[in-house]
Amino acid sequence: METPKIFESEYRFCLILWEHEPIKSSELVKLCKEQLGWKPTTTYTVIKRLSERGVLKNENTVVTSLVSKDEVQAAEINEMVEKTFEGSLPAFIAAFTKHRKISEEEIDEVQRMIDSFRKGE
Amino acid sequence: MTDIFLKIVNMSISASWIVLAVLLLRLLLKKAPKWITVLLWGIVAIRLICPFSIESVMSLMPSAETISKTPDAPGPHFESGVTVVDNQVNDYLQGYYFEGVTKPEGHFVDITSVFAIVWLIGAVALLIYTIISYQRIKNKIGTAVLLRDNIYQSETVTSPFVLGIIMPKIYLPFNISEQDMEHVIAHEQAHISRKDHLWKPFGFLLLTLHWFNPLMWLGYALLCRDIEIACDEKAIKELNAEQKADYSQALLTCSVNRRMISACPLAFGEVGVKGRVKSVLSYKKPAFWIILVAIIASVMTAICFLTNPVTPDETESDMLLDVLNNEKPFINESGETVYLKGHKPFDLANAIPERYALVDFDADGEKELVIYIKSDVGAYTVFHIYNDKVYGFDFMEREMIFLKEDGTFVQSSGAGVNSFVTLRFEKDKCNTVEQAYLDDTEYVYRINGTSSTVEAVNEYSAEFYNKSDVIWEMCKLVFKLSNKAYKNLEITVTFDYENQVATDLTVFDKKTDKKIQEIKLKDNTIFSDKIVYIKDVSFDGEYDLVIPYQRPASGVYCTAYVWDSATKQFVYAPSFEKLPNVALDNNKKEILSYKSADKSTLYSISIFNTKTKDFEVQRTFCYYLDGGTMVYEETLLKNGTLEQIASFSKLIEGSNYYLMDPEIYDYYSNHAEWDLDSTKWNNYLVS
Repeated sequence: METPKIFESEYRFCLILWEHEPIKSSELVKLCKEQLGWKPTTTYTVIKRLSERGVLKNENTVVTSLVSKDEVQAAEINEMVEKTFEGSLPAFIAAFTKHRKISEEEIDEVQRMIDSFRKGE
Repeated sequence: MTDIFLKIVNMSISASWIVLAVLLLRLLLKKAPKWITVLLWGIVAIRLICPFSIESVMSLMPSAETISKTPDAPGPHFESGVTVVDNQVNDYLQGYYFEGVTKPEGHFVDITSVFAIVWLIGAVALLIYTIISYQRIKNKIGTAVLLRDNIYQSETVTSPFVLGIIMPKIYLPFNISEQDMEHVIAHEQAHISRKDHLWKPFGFLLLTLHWFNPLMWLGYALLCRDIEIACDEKAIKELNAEQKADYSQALLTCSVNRRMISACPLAFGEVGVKGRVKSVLSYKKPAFWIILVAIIASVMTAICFLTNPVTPDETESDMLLDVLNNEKPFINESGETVYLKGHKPFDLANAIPERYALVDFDADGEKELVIYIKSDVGAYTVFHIYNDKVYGFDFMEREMIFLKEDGTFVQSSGAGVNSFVTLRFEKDKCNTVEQAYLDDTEYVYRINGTSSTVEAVNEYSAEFYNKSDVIWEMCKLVFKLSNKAYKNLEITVTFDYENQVATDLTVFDKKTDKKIQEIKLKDNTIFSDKIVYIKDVSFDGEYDLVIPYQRPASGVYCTAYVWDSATKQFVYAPSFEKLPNVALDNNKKEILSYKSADKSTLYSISIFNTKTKDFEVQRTFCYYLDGGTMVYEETLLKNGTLEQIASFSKLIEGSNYYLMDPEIYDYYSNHAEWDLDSTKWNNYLVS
């Protein structure tokens, strides 16, 4: 069986699971709130998602993992259906940078600007 | 809703001027801190949401309300403050709405309503897009993991951002180095402390309301850019050179999607990052005086663009002159609101304003208007303003004689009985105040109401007659009309008041201020209060001039001047005035004329012959009493003459006077409907 892939955020969740399993789902929700800052609905959604993917099982509200830390593989975000919203940040979000596709030449140009600035100081 | 839409459009136009000004200022204030520029965008925002404004002489706004409804004109009125543009636009609008003159009044409202609905749909669509986008983001970052405080990380984030209005949270990607993270967080915290997480969504909300204005999109895009630079400035203010380089590196790293680059090295991009790195690396704390200049410039801009130009209030004289020119109604002594044109003091027929003067009757510093109305007997009406309304008070000719400049005049109630009076106004009432009284028949003499001597009164009288008479201005009787060739024609009538006849008509094109034509009226054209009827008597779709000429016992005879589109003049049609009691049959496009004498009635039907450019009788029917029988005769125009086609007589039975087909009789006896005075055919133009 192929090892299921999990995202980084799900990995953090699994870290908690691996440390405290077997654990009641309500307890898990509390821990996720404290350590990850997740709303209860988010935790339950993730539990359901991971159970569908075969990463854990939820029996009678008790959650146990089905894969171990070593077995798990990091998933690339673009392998899953969900896509990031690269470059399509709506105009009302305060952002760090306008994330658009940038050409290689430009990257080099800007890098050169920074490097020569460092040298010049 | 249309009103809200119009208000928003006007606000948008006002704000557009500011956007242009801010664009200019941004270039001039390049060296100044960007947070000042962001404030300038704030001025734009204020204009976009605040429909009210205070007036100030410093205002640079071209006009306060660019698009408005005018009560009389059929189309909207456009006033941008740029005269060349205004004239062109208003011409186009007037031309477009010329056809609307014949349509029901609601035409203007209909067009704007359509636009209003389109605007509403657009705004709602944008709003829905915003809500959906926001929801999708919220879903994606649902599993973001808390790092510390209000900072989260998620695999779905490639470019750090702040989200949340009440409790803003910073979202970072996972694969970010410690060093980069430090700078990114500094930048995002700057966003939060500057409340950008509130301003940007707010600005976007304003944008949804003004989505139709491309300048607003430009302004918003620039606002976003300026906000980012302002945050950069705030984040790097205390950094040394090396740290600035690190910050730039973070900028570059975060803007690069490594996967993208490796997969497709020829992706094309946007230069936002380059510009920001440049600004960061070259940032120097701006000198104090630059900041000062920038702030002063911003404050000046605010005053100049947040205030509206001063519109002069309508003075009292303006109100009175509006009444004189029939543009404003007044309240007559019966309490009715009427226009001067329809005003008949003491029920005088043919009441035509002959002359007017502005006189301060009650010495309160404000002048009142007095108009002399000419008819068989004359009358005066005095107009006074109370509570922003104009009230009219009538005086018979003998009740206002020798009106002097200071507002005193004589009232005569008989031979040798004279009162010297002036007027006092109390709210909406008018009282005469007696200054002196002289009755040579009963030997009663009074000064200021108290008994006095004949000498004293004679002395007063002598002084009175020495005073300067009021100076009168002649009234103009003006008729407005619009036709395809000239949209703004004015017909002015010249009177000979002495002989009580109208002598000339001047046709004036108001738009070019040129005289089109002068018409010498027939001699002895009567002095009638209708003086000019503007009707289409040739049924060619253009208005003509019909002037009552004579009024013998048999009825009214009018002269007609028919509009000739070829020569663009009114051309006299000689045969029209042979037709007594003309009525326009707009159903059949014919002129009906009827003449009822004591024993006969004659109907004739005429049309305008475009070849001879004159009217021609097509058929007649008449019936008359011949002894004890009623004779009926009908004629029809054949080969140039009226040939009799029917004739019969019959003994009169009772009051059965009509011998023609009762249906036809009914139709033509309704001529009152089509009389020149009938309002049924007002604004009717054959299309």
